[in-house]
Parts: sequence; C-alpha cells; structure tokens
Amino acid sequence: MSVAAPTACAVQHLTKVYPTGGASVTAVDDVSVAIAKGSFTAIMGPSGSGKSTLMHCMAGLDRPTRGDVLIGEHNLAFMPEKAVTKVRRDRIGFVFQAFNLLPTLTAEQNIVLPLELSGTRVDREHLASIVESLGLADRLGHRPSQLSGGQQQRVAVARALVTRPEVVFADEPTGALDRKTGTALLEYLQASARDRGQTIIMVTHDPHAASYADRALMLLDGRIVGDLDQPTPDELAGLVGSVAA
Amino acid sequence: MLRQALSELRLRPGRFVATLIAIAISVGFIAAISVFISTEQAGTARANSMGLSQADLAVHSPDGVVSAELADAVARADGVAAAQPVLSRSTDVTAAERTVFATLWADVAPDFRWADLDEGRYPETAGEIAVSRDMADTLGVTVGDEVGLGGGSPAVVVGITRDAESLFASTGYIRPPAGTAADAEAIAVRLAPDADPDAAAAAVGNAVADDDLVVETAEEYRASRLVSITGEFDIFRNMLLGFAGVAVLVGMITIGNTFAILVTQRRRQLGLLRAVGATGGQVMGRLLTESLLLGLAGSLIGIGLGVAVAAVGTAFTGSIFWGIVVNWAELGIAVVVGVTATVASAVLPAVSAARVAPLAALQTVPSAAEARRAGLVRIIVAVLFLAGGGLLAVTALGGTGDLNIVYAVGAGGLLTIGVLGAAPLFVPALLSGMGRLFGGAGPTTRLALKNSARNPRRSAATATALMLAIGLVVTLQVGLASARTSGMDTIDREFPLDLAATYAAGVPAGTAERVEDTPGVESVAVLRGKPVQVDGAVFLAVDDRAARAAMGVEAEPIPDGIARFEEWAMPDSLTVDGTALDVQEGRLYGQSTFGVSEATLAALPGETTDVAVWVKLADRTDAAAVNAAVAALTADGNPDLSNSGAQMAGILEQVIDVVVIVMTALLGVAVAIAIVGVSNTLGLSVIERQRESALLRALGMQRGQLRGMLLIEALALAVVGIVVGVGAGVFFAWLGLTSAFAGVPGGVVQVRMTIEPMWTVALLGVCLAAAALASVLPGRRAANATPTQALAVE
Repeated sequence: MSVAAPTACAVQHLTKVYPTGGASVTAVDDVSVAIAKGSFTAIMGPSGSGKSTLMHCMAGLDRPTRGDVLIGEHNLAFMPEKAVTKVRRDRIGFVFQAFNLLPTLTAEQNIVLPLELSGTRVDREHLASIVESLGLADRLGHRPSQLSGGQQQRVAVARALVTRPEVVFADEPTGALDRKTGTALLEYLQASARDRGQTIIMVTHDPHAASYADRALMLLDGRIVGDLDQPTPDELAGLVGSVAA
Repeated sequence: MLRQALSELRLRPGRFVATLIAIAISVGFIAAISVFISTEQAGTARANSMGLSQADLAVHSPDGVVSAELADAVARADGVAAAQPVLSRSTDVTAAERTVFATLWADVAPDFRWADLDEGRYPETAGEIAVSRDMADTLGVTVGDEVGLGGGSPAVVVGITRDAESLFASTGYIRPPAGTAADAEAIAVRLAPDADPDAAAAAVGNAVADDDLVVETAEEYRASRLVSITGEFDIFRNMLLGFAGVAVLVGMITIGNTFAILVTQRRRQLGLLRAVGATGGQVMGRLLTESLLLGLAGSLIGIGLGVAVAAVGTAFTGSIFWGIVVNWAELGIAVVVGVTATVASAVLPAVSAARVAPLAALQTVPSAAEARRAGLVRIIVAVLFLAGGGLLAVTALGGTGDLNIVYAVGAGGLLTIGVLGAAPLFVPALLSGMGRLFGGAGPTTRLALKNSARNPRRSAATATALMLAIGLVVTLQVGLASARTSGMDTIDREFPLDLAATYAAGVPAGTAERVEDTPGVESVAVLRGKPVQVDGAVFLAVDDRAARAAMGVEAEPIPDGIARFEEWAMPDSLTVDGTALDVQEGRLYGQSTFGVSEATLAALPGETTDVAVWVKLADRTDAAAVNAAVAALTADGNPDLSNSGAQMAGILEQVIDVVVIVMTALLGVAVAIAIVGVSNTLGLSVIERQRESALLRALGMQRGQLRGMLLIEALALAVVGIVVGVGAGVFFAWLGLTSAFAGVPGGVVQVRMTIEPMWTVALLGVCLAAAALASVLPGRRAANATPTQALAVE
C-alpha cells in the first residue's frame, strides 16, 4: 500500500475499556491504524479479540475510553453525541450481519432512509446506478420479509452506498449467507473499492472473506498482531493458524 | 408452577407495571365507591338522628311525626329525667352575600346537647342562633353578627359549636318561640340515673297512651334510620358501580392486550419450555398463575388506593367526622372482581401461548409483524351486530311508544359491540390512512405511522379501550349538554322574564333605581297597575305593554275591555266594580294578576301606582348577578318572584355543570386506564423493537427523532380512539335523546343537539396530552438503545 495515499479514517492510541463487575476488560488496547481512501480492509481476529469493538469505535457506534477516531476531517472522540450521530448518518455506511432492514419499509424506502433522516434530496441517478449494479431494480417495492437473505444484504449494501459515505463498515456481512451468495457480495464490495474508490472496512473471522480485501489486519487481545497487504488465502490461513495456536 | 410464575414477575417487573396500574385503578374505583358510600350512609344516618345522640329512649311514630307537646307528658313518666321533642328544620341562612343551606335544631334542654361550644353560648331566646364552626366560616360571621334565616327573619349569632362538617347542610341551633306547637321527628328521652330502662320504657308507653307510637331505645332508633336511608344510597351505589363496571371492562381490554403482547414476546421462552417437555396445559397454567398473582397484587394495591380516595372524599363531604366505615365483604368482592377480571383477560393469550410450538425456541428472528388477516368470522359477527343495532336504532327513531328508549339502549349496546369487535378491521385502515395523509411530513412521522399499524390486533385493542372510554364520556357530555339546551329552551319559552317582582302593596320607592344600579342588570321596566276587588279577593290589574316592549318578550297589545290571565288562573268571567271584562288567555301574569290596556286600567276604580318591576340581566345564568338583583328587589319589600326564569335557569345550569363534571370524572377513570393501555402497548412494543431502534440510531437517527417517533405513535393511537369514540358518542347521544323524546306528545320539550365545545375539547386535549405523556417512558427507553445493540446477534 502506497504511503502517499490519503487517509479516509484512522485511529490513534485507541483504547476501549469495559467495566464488568470488579475487573475491567480492555477490549482494544492502544491501537493506531490509518485506513487509506479507496481501500478495502478486513479486520480479522478470533472471538473476543476486540475486532468488533475496534470497528464500533471507528464507526462512532461506541465511545473510545482514550485515543482519537478520525473520519475524514472529524475527530469523533471529541464530538458530542448528536454530532457523532450526524457523522454516522452523512459520512458512514453500515452493513450488518443480520437485521439490517426495517421490516415496515419497502426495499427502496430502506435504501433511502439515511437520506430522508438527514432531509437530503435523493439523487435518483445515483440511486438507479447502485440499484442496477446490485440487481435490485425489480425488488424495490418489496418488503424485507419478501426478500431472500442475499437480497436483504444487497439492499443493506445499497443503503450503505447511497449517501456516498467516506467509509462503509461491514460487520460479518456474509455471516448469514450461503457461500455462493456471500462470494457474490464480497466481489461486489471489492469492485466498489477498486472501481469507485469506495473505502470499505469489513470485520470478519472468515479467511475466505478476508482474501477479497486489499489489506488484512489481525487482532488478538485488543492489539494488532498482523497487517497483510494484498493477502492471499494461504497467507491468511497461516495468520489465522498462528493466532489460533 | 407458582414459583416459576413468581420469578417471571420478579425478573421483569417493568413489563407488568402497566397491567398492575390498570388493575389497581379498576379495583380502587370499586373499593373507593364501597367505602365512600358506606361512610356517607352511616354518617348521614348519624347526622339525621343527631337529635337523639344524648337520648336513652326515643318515642316516634311510623309516619315519622309526633306532636311536640307529647314531651311534657313523657317527662312526667316514672324513671324519666327529661324529655325533649326533636325538632329541626332545613332552611337557608344568609349573611351579606353568602348563603348556606342548614339544618337548624331546636335547642330546649341542656341535657340533650351533643356538640361542645367553641365560643359563646347556646341560644336563649327566639332571636338568637348558635352555628357550627363550619357555617360560621362559610358565612364569615362571628359571635355578635346578625344572620338571616330563610324567609328573612333575623337572628343574632350567640355561639359557635363544634359539629361535623357537612357538604350538604351545615348545623345550627335556634330556640323556637315559646308556645309554638310543632311536629317533631321524635321525642328524645333521658332516663334518671337509677331507672330501669325496661320499666321506664313501659312507663313512657303508658304516659303517651297511643298505640301508634313506638317507644324504643335510641340505639334501635338509629339502626332503623340507617335502614330507612339504605334505599336512597343504593341508587347512588349502583350508579357508581355502573361506572366502575366500565372501568373494569376497559381495564380488561388493556390487561388482555398486555398478556397477548407478552406471549408474542416470550414465544422463544415458551417454545423452550415446550421443547424441554412442558405440555401445552402447563404453559397455559403458568401464564394463568402469573395473571392470578398479578391480579391479586393489583387488587390489593387498589384496595389501599380506594380506601385512601374514599377517606379524602368523605373528608371533603364531612362524613369522615363520624368515622370511616369499611364493609370488608364488599372489599373482598372487589378483590375477587379484580383477580377474576385479570385471569379472564389472560385466558385467550394463555390459550395462544399453549399453542406455541417447541420449534419456536429455535427461531432466531422474531416475527416482525403479525400481519394476520382478520378472520371471516369476525367480519360476519361484527356485521350481524351492526345490522341488529342499526335495525333497533331505526325502530327507536321511528316509533312513538314508550319502548323507544329501550330500543335505543339495545341499539347502543349492539352497535358498540359491533364497532369494537370490528376494530381490528378498521383501525389498521385508519392508521395507514393517516400514514398516507401525513407521510409527507418526514421519515419520523412515516415510520411512526407504519409502526403503529404494524400489529393490527394490538393497535386495535389499544384503540378499542380508548374508543369505549371516550365514547361513553362523549355520549354523556353531549346528552347532558343537549338536555341543558333543551331545558334552557323550555325555561326561556315559559319564563322569558329574567326577574319579575310583583309587589301587592306597590313598588317601594327607590327600588327600581337600586335594581338599575346593580351590576349585571341590563334593563329595568316598571309596570303600572292598581289593586282591584273581585268577588272579595284582591287582584292586581296591570298595564304591561311598555314593559313587554322593553324586555323584548311577546307583546301583542291588549284590546280595551279585555283582561288577560295565565291559562291556569283564568276565571270564567270577570266583573270589576260592576264592569264586566272579557277574559282571555295570556302569559307572564302569575297568580292573582291580570293584564289590561292602558285605557281599561284607567277606567278601573282606584289609584294607579307602580306595582311590579321586571328585570333583564346581561346573563341570566350568572348567579352573582341574580342574587344581587334579587337582594335589590327585596330590600324594602316582599315581592312575588315566581315568574322569574333566571333563578331556575341558573339552578339548571349549575346542576348540569356539576353533573357533567362528576360524571366525566367518574368515566375519566376509564379513560385513564385506556391511556395506561396506550403507554403499555408502546412500552412493550419498544422492548420488542429494541434492535430496530438501535439500527435507526446506527443509521443516524437522533435520539430526539426516535422519541418523536414514539410520540407520534401514541398520538396516532389516541387520535383513532378519539375519532371513533367521539363519532360513536355523538351518535349514541343523538339516538338516545331523539328516541327518548320522540314519544313525548305535543313537543313540550324540543330536543336540540348540543355539543359543549369546552367539555369535549377539554376531554380531547387531556387525552392527547396524556397520550403524549404515555410515550415519554417508552420513548426514553427506545432512545437509550445504544447503536451497537443493532449489531449484536441475539
């Protein structure tokens, strides 16, 4: 990865401590990392490694205990809750593992929801191109319950992209999908980064999923223990094996 | 099973709070009524027999009246220390502008006094009065001041006593003029210290020598008085219990809805129970046990609440002076009603819980919306009820018989069941209609309206409770408002004059001017006339043409030689001083008065003077103005005021206002329960939608927007309940009034439908405000969902 590439988001000396009863748990321990604009980054790690916490803090879903979180020009660590919410709405896209969509809204209403919440006019052309690229054109009027799991995830991806966000965060986006559908989704995310310059950060424990990324970070006990550029499945398998050992 | 149920209640108390409140309010209502009425009844009985509170024996007659003179004979009987007739009269007592209604007891012998003196002394002559502290405070008088006893005779306050306060009548003591014969309620008898009660009673019996009179102990007498007023109180009790029944019904809808929602939310838990081997019956039993415990807890809270409310109520009426009377059997019944209602409400949800398949435990995604189609059965049943109700309504409106009102009540009942039963059919439609109407107002509103319509049964049940409660209040309000308007119309027609004072001896000088200067008086007209002898009786002939014109009442000129009388006072013929006058029917004359033309009046013998004053008020229902004007009219004379409409209109206005306030408050309990139901439905829905709220927060919805969403959901439910409730209420009131008066011949009372905007708007405002308030806690809960919860896989 080129050092000169501009940064889309970064954390510096990020620490997150959860108070649990008597002993507090340090989920993320002094992590610093910069994510280049237009890159597709995978954050890997076994359960309890802190990968989800790191992502939550980076995406403004959770507050860091110490350290800075930068999204574009904003430092989320110093912003009030309302402003963070606004950043999430306008600058960040989300794709979750499951329960991405509001059951009462149609696919199209779900896609444009972030725009509506901010009162932004829907760019029809942009919407059409996203919907077209995801093959959802004939599904827009359906409700989530009438869509397959893969279609629901694609609606979620469309919603994440429609605001032209700085960064899209994806949390195990293929976790609830079969392998074929999951692969198609990963290919789409990869293409979004390569062809449209969309920055994407994906949390996954699956080496196969991570192999679609430009970069893979491995977390263990709240620290980054591996950082692979253009990881191959073999390299990733080795990394996972080393951590599991 | 009991332990499991208890642990469920302990683990998630929040989910049951609203149910507990609904039960507690319903049972508390019943308990409050029971305690209040029992206490009032006992208090009234004690107050009524107050004259005998120091007596050992009572002599009374079955017809309720004994001669006061009997007391002397009784006093002479063996073993009797003293005897006194129990004499009291009810009258109004006035001081300056203030008036109280009072029971004045004749105070004769010191032995029979029951109240301690606060200051001063008991009256010793006819012109003196001792009043209770309560009356003194109300009138603003103290020892040495003068008060007027009904009819105008003055009395000087010589003492202030410590008596029970009473809402209805204050207590006072007077000394009747010596030698006045009177009918007493009873003869109070005190025995000599060493007298044998039985022997003394026999001696008293011999002394009165009248088999119709009863001699019994004062205690027996009081007990019989309590029984004699039970009937009157039972009417109140039953009426109030009717209102309590409505509250319980609305409570049941709310409770049933809560359990239905809880079963939906606990599908996985129930499925797990089934998976580890619980039978459907056991699952059902567990739910019913929970409801039983809940019902019991709520009912006991309700009893405490009810007794407290009754204590406050009886303190207000003053009956608490005699002690709170608790009828434990009735309270026991209230608890049984509360528990039964709760368990009965939980039966249907429990049955559906028993049907949860073990597989439900394995379903990870909770069913988003139970968009079940309304059953065909529901449609058919609702249509049948509506058709039956409609048919009865048409019968009630078309008929002329006495049964109209029965038909109308039947129609009301059937239509209510039909409308409420059909609620799941039209409530979602109304909600989505609102969604289309207000969808453009932004994503928050659109989401809120979609949410409120997502569980058709749940929102229908919530709105149903509100519809029922609001419908009843509006029926009552419109009914009473219309009754008032119709009554006012009748009074306006029959008594168009606000105040008419006829002075047999001529209008005292300065009266007209004094009235004219009274605030609230718009105009004054003085009638000229003269007293004439007709067959030995004195009649008043008046010329009221100018006065009628001034007052703006019907003024068809009277031709010369004609005398106009009230219809009911019309003689067959009239000859004054040898001159025969033709008799015609007229209005606004009253007793012993007739109208003639100016020329005819002049031709009659005697001198023409001012004989009557007519007054037009700016507002005839303004009690202060009426009182002031009457005071001005009666300052120097004692006129006949019987033709005045203002006092009657004022009383009607006040009575109806009080009735509306009381009834609205009573039915307001049902509205309150329905609003608790709204909060409950929202609260439970929010728990269910925790992840959804978190997702919205993750996607950038602000906390305020989320709270706003819940607010709009609450308002949407309230609006549906209000629209249907108000519509139904107005219709039922119209149906009831129209059919009730359709059978009245001659149209004596013309029904005018009236909606009193103040009452109804206030009701709706309170409902909307309460609904908004009901969304606060659920809204907070939803807004506090952290965005990360959306990512957690349950």
